[in-house]
Amino acid sequence: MPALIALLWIVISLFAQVLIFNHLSLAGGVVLFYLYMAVKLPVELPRPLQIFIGFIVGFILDMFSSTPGLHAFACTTIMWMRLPLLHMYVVAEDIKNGAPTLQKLGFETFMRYLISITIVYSLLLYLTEAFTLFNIVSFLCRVSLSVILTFIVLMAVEIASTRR
Amino acid sequence: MLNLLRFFAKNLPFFTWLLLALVSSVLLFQRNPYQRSVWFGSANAVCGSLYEMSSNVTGYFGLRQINEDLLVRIGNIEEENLMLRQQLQRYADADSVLLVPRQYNYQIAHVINNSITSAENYLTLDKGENDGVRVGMSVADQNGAIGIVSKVSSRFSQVISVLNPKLRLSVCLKETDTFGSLVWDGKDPAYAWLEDLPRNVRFQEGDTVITTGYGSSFPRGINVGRVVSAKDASDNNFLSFRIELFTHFDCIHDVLVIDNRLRDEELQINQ
Repeated sequence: MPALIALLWIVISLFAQVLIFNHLSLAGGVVLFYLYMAVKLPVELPRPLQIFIGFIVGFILDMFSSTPGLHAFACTTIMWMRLPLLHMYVVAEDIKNGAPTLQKLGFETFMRYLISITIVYSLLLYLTEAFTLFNIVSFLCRVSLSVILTFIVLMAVEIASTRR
Repeated sequence: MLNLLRFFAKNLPFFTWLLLALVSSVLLFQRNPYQRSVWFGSANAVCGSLYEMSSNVTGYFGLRQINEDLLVRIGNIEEENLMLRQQLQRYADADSVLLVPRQYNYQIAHVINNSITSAENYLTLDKGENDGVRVGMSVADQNGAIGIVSKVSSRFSQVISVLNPKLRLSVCLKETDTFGSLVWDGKDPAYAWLEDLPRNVRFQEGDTVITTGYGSSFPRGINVGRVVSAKDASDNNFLSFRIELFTHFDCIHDVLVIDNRLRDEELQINQ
């Protein structure tokens, strides 16, 4: 059942990204809503499977934005790094199964975890993109704005889903 | 052997990542956007249908601006039409001028997806191979040039936008006919650069830039933008102009797909 819910979340966040968030931008910065999947995927899933899910999600995003390989690479890599990033702030024994949530981690730890994932992912994505086109000003602009926007939106979604 | 297998098993996450990262890199480094399979782009049936559904809703946004642009365009064309009619009247006896075959064929298509925020931007149109759209056809709207068709599936097509560094469009100054290439630098979707102009070119700020018709996609004379300022590249003998694009890329709904009937012939002779 948790797997089904996770799958549903992935599909919903993909739809939201492709149809809504990709079209709202602030000076090149975009809300990377699908990162919610990387933040919240249950930790007990086999890691190779998590990485594979990342690849599939990235590949689908690439299909919609006609940039083969770009999101696939960044998503694969962030899914590989999410547990090491999580374990920087939480001891592995403390969170053995289920999704990392605000409730389980506490406000400060969750915020740190979320901001690390957002920063690492934005750097990965926009550095990979920089192979096509490198411009330091727009690069910094895109990274910082995407991090801020994504952080705010994902934090809001998490807080909203906790209050029940 | 057993040790090797154990090593693999122990580092399975790493090797999964390595394999998938390699696959992504292969996709990433296929340079030519025309050579990729249609499945990797937004013109495939799944993406196309989804975008079509969403554009049924968003298609109504910004209609006031578009309406205004269209009226301005109609005004210009009306004026030009009147002038041409008067000129034609003078040659009415020599009917040979009327026998020039039509080289370009225009077809209306609707934009169902559009991006201006990526480093490489593409659009998706709701017309495909079934409607006669082919790779290499040019796309423009009432304001100016938009891009070139790079992928077609049976019902949809993908257009590589002017806002994509992989497209270099051949354009010229309307006044002097000096030509160069139009390139986007990835910063502002309202501006692009006109590069490779000789240093001695005469120009004024506000000069209109149009397509040259070279490269057999765009007909000659489609509006592109106006010169804002010049930049002196000190390392070579060329001049660059910053161009304000006429096309409002954030507000494109209905476009014209332009088919050059002599394209194959032109390409053949250029080979």
